[in-house]
Amino acid sequence: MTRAAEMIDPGNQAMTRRFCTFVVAGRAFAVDASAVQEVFRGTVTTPVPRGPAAIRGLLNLRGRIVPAIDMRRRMGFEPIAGEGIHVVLTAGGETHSLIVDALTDVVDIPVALIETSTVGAEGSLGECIVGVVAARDGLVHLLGIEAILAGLVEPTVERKIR
Amino acid sequence: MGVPSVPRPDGGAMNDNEEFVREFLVESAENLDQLDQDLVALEENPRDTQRLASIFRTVHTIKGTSGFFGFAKLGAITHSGEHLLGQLRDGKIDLDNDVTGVLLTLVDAVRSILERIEKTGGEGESDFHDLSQSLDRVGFEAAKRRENGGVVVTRLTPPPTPAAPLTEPVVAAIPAEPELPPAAADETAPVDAPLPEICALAEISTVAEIRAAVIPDAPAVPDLPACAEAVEVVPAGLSASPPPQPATPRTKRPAVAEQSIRVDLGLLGTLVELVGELVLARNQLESTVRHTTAARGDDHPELLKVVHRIDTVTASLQATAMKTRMQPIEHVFSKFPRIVRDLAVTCGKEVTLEIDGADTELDRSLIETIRDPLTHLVRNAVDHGIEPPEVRVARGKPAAGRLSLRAYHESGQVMVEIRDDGGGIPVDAVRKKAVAKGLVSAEQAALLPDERVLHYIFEPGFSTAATVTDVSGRGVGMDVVRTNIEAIGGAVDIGSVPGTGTTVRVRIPLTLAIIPALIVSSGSHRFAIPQAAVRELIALRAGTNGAAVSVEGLEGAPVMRLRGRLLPLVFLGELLGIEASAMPGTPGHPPRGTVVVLRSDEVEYGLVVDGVTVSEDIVVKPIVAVLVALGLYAGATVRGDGAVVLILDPRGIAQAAKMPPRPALDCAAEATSADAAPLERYLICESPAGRVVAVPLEEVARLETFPRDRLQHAAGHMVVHREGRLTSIADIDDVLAGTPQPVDLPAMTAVILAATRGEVALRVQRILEVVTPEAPINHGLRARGVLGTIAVAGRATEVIDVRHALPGALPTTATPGVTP
Repeated sequence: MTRAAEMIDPGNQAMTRRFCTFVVAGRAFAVDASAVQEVFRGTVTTPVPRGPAAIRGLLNLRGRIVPAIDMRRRMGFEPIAGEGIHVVLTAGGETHSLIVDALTDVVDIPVALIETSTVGAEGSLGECIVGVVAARDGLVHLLGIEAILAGLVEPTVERKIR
Repeated sequence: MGVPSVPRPDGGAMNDNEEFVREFLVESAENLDQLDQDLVALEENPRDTQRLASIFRTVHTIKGTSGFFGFAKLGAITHSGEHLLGQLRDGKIDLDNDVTGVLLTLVDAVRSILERIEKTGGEGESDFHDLSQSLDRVGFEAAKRRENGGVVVTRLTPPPTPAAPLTEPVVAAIPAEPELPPAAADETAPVDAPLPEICALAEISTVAEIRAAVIPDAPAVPDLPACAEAVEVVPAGLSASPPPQPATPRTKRPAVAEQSIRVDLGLLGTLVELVGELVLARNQLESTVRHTTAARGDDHPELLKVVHRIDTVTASLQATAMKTRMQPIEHVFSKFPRIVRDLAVTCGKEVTLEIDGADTELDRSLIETIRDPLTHLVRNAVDHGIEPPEVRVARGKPAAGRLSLRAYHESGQVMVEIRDDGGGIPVDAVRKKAVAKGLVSAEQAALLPDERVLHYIFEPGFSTAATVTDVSGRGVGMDVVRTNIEAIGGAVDIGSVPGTGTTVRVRIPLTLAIIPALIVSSGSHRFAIPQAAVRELIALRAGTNGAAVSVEGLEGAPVMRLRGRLLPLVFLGELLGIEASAMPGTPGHPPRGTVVVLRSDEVEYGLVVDGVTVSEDIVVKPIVAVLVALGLYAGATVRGDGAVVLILDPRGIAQAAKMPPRPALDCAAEATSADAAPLERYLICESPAGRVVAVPLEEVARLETFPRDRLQHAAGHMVVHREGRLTSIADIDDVLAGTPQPVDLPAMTAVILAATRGEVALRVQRILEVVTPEAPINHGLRARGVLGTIAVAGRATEVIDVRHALPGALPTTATPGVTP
């Protein structure tokens, strides 16, 4: 994977964090690259009945059972079927996979450029976002895995109770 | 247990032998654990000569090897120990508490020297002279006692075989020899050495011989040639030996040791992961080959053959690799006989330890995690649970308390049960303490059912023990037990009946456990069901011959009649929102599907699936918290073809389907005072028609036997004249809607039930026992006269609903007028 960070202005060089950027429904998102374990293209075979709607199913990742979260569904976009790009993240001792439309890049973003004042917005898209970075060709939304998972459970429980 | 590393000491001969010393340390560490167990077992059964021989051999091996490496202190104490064991074996002394005690001290001392050697390479400064002396003294005194007492013990060991040249050399190699009292020297006289010692010698000499061959420049052991010769002597000796004692299967250990090697755990982990990758690659290979051959229109049989072969080899490789991480729980349990024995001596108690299910396997990493919590629970049971012998006798219990440890797989989890028949936990004391500590208000506490109150003992700093003893004051409280178990996703439950005993159940998640499971299908989905929960499989079919299974509705909930009982049904497809073919059936459409009858401690129901694919061993993998929270799945597994299959949680499904309440013994249960009946006691009896049933003990007033001539018939009802009045008799078979049997014995046994509306005698054939079932009564299955079922020794036993035996409930009972 190349490391052409042209997308983001260099700005303050002092402190940077490395992010993995990708596209979901035409928008740019990023996750902390240190959590990313691997990226691959593939399908999900095992659905989870009565599981959260955004969990498309389970993956067998070298013997490890990993749930695949459809990020279109999770963030409230129109879902698309078929293969997707899996961005596998390990955080808090658990591994999850985010299904995204396309992988863009790996970039180093200066911490000073990360805007967090708008974080905590309502709605399925807003609640996943932990930061925003203004890039040359638009905004890049930083996603937090904890935020993604937290919102995954609540609506499901309500739905389950019928 | 990792391979202990031997840090290089400051030069010396150790360096050359480092490998061998290490091997010796590892071997000895295992042998010592075995010694602990063997000694305690020997105390139980002092005539177990095979076990004694095995103990002797182990000590002898350590002695011989320590002599070889020049560990003088080790050599000295093991020599004294061996001498004492020799006396024991030759029947010169009896095994009593003193002897066992000093031998266990010996094991501890050997262990501490070995640890010292492991750390520093040397034996350390500690002086074990006292131990040697007490070993000799205890032997001497025991021999004296023996002479004075004049007890004749039949010798089970074969008559001594002359083995003169064999014992001397090894003994001579031990530097401590001169310190022995003269009497001791006499008793090691070679003439007295019977066969086991010769075998022991043969063993050590073989080792020595190998070592000598491998390390030519090893420290000179002048006696080696003599020892080596022993190898040739042994077969002759063996052929003359008597047939083996049938009682003890213990001696298989050495052979097992030879068949196993030590592997680094990290390496095993990597192996398992690599095998997983291989499985995926195999899958890809298969699909690629399939596509390619289909596209080209030629089905290359050679290629397919190779792919098939890779497929089968990969599958068995995967299965084998997974199993390498499993260990029997015995690795934890094996320490307990010694711990319990020591503790019982310290506390002045008598405890019989029963261990069951030691071969239950679980992941090695879990074994380490549960070791401390289980040890603490065992200590607690002995220290606080089991009463001193005199108290027990006064309470009408046997002097020796019973502590039972049981491990088993249930619902795909590993359950460990620690159960004592001690005094139980004073619930009211716990209640008071909880209020005093501000954990709960006095009003709330008064309303809380007992089993909820018991859970307060898991709070930090909670102790109701009147005195903090040496045993319990070791820093690990029940709160730490719970924290440790919960940290691995397990749970601890406690149940206690004052005066009867306490049961603690530890539920350990099945992470990585290999369990047999049933693979079932529902629609296009496949699921695994832990075999442990499955009782039977029944096909749902149209009632063609009248005997077939049919589904009935009971207030909207489907049930099935199974051998006269009603089994609630859950349709898996419906529950999970899957389009499935199994269905209850409607007029004109017969029911379809397969009923998997599931039973755990709390519930019994039928799970209806489309079909059962296969039964196979699965490796349980954890699933993420978000999915665990659904409460439907216990984990997932990867099948042989790489497909992921969810494992159903029978308990969770019952909850999700709103099965009848699960009472007690589960902290999660929403216990109300109505179902607060933890660990009730039941009287088990046999009915005249041969049915084994349970009667809640609290309903029982007395047990009586009436002579036949006191029985009377009044208007077709049976009554008995006792204590100046007539008491109605209910026939137990009649209560259970069975056929009453005629009274054909000269006397009739009856259980007198104390009821508010008057006494009634319940006729039984005989009284079997009083039990406290492991699980509370399962109210899920009722029928006329049956309150529910309990498990007694693994068998489902119906509990009588005594209300059906009361006057007026049965047509055959006497009219109300006959009872006062």
